[in-house]
Amino acid sequence: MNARSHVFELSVENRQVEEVVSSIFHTLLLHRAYGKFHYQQEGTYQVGTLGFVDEDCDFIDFTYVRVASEELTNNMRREITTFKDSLHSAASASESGQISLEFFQRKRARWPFQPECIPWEVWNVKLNVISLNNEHDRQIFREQVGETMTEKVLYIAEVMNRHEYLPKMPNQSEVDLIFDTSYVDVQPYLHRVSYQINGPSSSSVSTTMRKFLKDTLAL
Amino acid sequence: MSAGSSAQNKKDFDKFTKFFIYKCVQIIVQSRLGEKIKSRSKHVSSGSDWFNIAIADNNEVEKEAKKVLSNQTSTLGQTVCIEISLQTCEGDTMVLEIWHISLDINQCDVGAKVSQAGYYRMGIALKSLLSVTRVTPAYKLSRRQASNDYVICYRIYLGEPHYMFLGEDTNKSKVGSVPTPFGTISINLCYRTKLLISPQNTQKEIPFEMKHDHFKQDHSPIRNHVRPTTPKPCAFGHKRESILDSDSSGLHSEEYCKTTFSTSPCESPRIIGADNVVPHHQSQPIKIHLPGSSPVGDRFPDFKTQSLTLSSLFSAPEKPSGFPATHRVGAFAKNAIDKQSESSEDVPFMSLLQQVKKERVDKVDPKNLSGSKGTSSSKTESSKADTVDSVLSESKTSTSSQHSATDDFVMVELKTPFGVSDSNTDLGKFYQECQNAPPLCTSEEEQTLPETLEKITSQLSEFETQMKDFDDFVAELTVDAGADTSVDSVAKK
Repeated sequence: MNARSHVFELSVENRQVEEVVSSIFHTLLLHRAYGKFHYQQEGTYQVGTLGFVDEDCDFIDFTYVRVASEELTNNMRREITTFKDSLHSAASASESGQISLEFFQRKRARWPFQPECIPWEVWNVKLNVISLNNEHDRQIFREQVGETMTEKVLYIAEVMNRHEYLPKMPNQSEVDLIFDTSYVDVQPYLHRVSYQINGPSSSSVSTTMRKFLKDTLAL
Repeated sequence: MSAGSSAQNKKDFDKFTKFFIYKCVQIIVQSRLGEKIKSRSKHVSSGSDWFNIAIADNNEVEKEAKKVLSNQTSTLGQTVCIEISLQTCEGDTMVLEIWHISLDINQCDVGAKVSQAGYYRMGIALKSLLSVTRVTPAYKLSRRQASNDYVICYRIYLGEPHYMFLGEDTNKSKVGSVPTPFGTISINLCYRTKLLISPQNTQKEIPFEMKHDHFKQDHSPIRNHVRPTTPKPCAFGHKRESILDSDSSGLHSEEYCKTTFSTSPCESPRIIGADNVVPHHQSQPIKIHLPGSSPVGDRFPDFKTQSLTLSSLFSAPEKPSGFPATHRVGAFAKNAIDKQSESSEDVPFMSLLQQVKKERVDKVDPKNLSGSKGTSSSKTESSKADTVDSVLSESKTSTSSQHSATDDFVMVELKTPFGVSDSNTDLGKFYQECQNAPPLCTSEEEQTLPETLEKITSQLSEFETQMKDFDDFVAELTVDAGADTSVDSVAKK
């Protein structure tokens, strides 16, 4: 089965990187998270309640909704900040990079094979970082990015409501193969964040090998 | 699917759809309250946490929704519309967006079980609604609403959406979709795009562009459309506060989402309705009074828009403006105003000008000079700067008997630069005579424009009659020039 893949391409200022990625990722996680599952009898379970929080952006005219879980928010912030710092410290003149949020499910390990992580939905955000010279341009660009983000959210809503493949609701023994049960208050689908920074020094082969090794070790 | 399970499915469908609509209405209306919302994730769901999402239930909104939905004969037999509008202090209304929930019975997902798949899909649709309600222009407007400026209102009705209220430029978007065995429930949005929102809302004016006759209730065809329900403010008397910014983990989720409505309405009573709209009296329009003109309200009791007021103000002032008429008299020139003022009795400050003329004559009088001498002798030795200061102070002293404090003309007695303060010396007198030199004779022969034109016309006609003489003269000059050159050439030889 091939994972569904979606790509967003945006041009942003350096200070907007974090908020743009957070807006998209948290909107996705809101749709891909539930309350905590509580299994009772075999085959029956109760689901907790998912809270939500409005977040205003400082550098773009935009407000997004995220899941009410401080732990999940902190984890995402850490990943996004790492990406932003890597993007900022890139030596290339034209800074661009890509960060991805991937939802996957695990397959149990069968000897002699390692357990597999099979993505079923991948969201890629390609960013091209630009710099503006004056405050007037920044203000206009701020509004433009806000409008662009509106389109992205509407697109996410449209995709989510197509009700395409979703992993089947698991029983208690298999819940860790589908959901990330490490959080106390919420239960999102298993997901991970990866990124790459585009630069003239990185060759395609080395990048691919690095990614391959990283993915293998992540299993 | 067996009949029993089908009946259970239908029962679940009716029940879930009803609460789905209630929650949609709650999400939409609460997103237009003007504040950020924060609800808490709960380990265990309570009975009111439909679709496992912490959406608080506002009683007023729920009551309104139930009242409207009670008129439905079957589940989503008619489209449920939630209209969000903006209402200004003057009682004018502009519809911003229309959310509508409908059921398409032609698109069914027969294999889906309502109690599980349908329930989760409804949850996803509600999450989409949560996200999308924050990205429309109406959300930004609602965050800036204030009771003395404008408020955001909502209205729930059944039937086809009234798109005509949204104006010409709109965007449509599908927000959510829930396939069920009984049809696909869709949440759709249509919102107005042409909004010019002023970033500095310092004036009490409508911060968006409107046509001049947009709210003319008599002429607009839209107003003839019957609107069965009246818009209600999303936050009745609500003051925008970010009360949920602080970390208060001990509070129950309903307390976070609970919408606070003040028990007292807006400070000035307001009847909201299509035909009977009472203007808001608290906020007064900006009134610009011209001196001598009547106030705006007297002339325009039906004040509607700022532009109308301003255009009326500048079109018909009743009296001339009260700007002080200053006339600068050039040096060595006679005060031409005197002549005009003599001919016209309506020139303002006529008496003052005559006073100035009199004072100019008096200034030459040595008696006046001697009167000011006493005060000037107490001054220090004159440098140029000191002279000016002393002159100013002297002029006030010497002319105080002739001028009132509010006069615009101040006589300044000029002293000889770098000279002694005593103006009775020959040099001083000479200087003053130069300053007050008699006018030239030519300047007395001032003619009016018609006279000048007449004179020029007569000169031209005279030149035309003498044209032949002028031509002969020019010819003579050229002949003479030719003769001279021939003489020069002979001389050289």
